[in-house]
Amino acid sequence: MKDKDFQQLVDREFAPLTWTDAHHRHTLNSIHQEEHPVMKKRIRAALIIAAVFLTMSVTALAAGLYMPSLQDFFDRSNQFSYIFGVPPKSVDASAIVVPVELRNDVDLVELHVSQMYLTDKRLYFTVTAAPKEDNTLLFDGHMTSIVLDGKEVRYWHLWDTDYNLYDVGSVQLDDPDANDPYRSVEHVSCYRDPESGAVTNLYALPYRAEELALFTQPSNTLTFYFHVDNLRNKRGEWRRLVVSFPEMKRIEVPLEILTHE
Amino acid sequence: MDSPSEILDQLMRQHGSRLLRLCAMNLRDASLAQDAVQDTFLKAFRQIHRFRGDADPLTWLTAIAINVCRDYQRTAWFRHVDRRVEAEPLPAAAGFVFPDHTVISAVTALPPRYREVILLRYYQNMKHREIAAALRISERTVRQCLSKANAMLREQLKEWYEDEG
Repeated sequence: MKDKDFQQLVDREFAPLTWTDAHHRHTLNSIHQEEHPVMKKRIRAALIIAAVFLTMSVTALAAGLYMPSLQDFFDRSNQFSYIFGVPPKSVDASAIVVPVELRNDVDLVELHVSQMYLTDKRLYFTVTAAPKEDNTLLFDGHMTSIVLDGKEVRYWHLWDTDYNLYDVGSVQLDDPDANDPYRSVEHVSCYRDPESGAVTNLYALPYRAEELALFTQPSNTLTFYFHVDNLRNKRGEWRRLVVSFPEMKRIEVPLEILTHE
Repeated sequence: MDSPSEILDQLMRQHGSRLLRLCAMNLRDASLAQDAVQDTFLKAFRQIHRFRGDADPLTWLTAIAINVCRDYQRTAWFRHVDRRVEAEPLPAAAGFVFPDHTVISAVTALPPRYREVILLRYYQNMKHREIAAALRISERTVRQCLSKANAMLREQLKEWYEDEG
C-alpha cells in the first residue's frame, strides 16, 4: 500500500466530512468553559476519604505468583517511559493500600485486581491476567520469553498463538454520572511472571477531588472492561471484571477541592 | 506566546478535518467521529502542558484521538450491543453516507489493532516510532501488525497492491 494513494483515496471518499465552523465554535465554547476561573476553597469538613477496611480475602493470586510492589512498577516505568509525552513519575509515598474484593467472570483468562493504592490524585491498581489453558499466551506488548523444545525463545508479540490478550480496557465507575469520556486510565507499566505466564499491569486512574466520595462509598464498585482477541475464530470478545469495596470506615481529613464560582 | 486556547484554535483549523476522517474510518461512524474529534481537542486542551514542543502536533493529536476512539468503542459496545454477538456498524450520520469503496471497506473491517496501525501509517503518514508511541507498543510489534494487516488487505485488494511488484 502506498501512503499517498491511500491518503488521496480517503480524502476523496470522505470529502463531505469536514471540520466545520460549527464544530470549531462548539469546541471553542467548551474550551472557554474549561478556562473559566476556579476558586480554591479549602474545606475542612468531614469529607470522606477511604480508610480501611475489613480484611478480605484476595483469592486472586496463584500461589507463588510474583507480585511486584508499587515502587517496582514505577522503577520499571521509568526505564521505559510508557506514558506518551509524559516524563517518568515517582511513587507517592502517601499511597494508601486499599484491599479489594474480586469477582471474575472471564473464561479465557483469569483476571484479578490484586492491589490498589489511593493517593490524593490517583487510584492505582494492578490487574493480573493469567492464562487458563495451556495454549493461551498473553500479549502485553513487551519482550517475552518462553521455552520451546528446551530452548528459550524471545518474542515481542505472540501472534502465532491461539489466544491473544489484545488490550485492557478503561475503567468505568458504575455510577453513570461519573462516566467521563475525558478521563482515561494511564498504563504505568507491567510485569510478566515467567513461571505462570501471567501478566500484571499497573494502571492509574486520575480523579478529581470531588469524585473522591465515589471511591469511598460503601459497596461501591469499579468495573473493568477487557477486550480479548481470540485468534482462533477471529472474534474479539469484551469481558468484565467487577471490583467491590467491601466495607469502609470514614475518617475526617482536610482536603482541598476545587469549586466553580 | 499564544495561549492554550489560541494554540488549540490553530490546531483545529489545521488538523480538524484530517482527524475527523481518521476517527470516521476507525469508528466506522461519521456522527460518532465528530464527537470523538471534539473530545480529542478538549482532551488536548487539558493536556497541552504535556505537549513537547519538538513533537509533531498531528502525531500528538492522533495519539489522543486513537485513545478517545477506543473509549467510544468500548462505551458504544456496552450501551448498544449484546456482548455475546458481534458489533454491527452504527447508523450513518445524517447527511453523510459512509463510503462504499472496496479499499475503505477492507480497512475498516480489519481487527481494531490492525486498523489503527494501517490508518496511522498510511493515512497519517506516521513513522513506526511514532505509531509505537501513540499505541504504546513496541516498534517491532508495529512492524508485525503492519505486515499482518497488509497481508490481509493484499488478499482482498490485489489490484491495489499489484503496482508495488
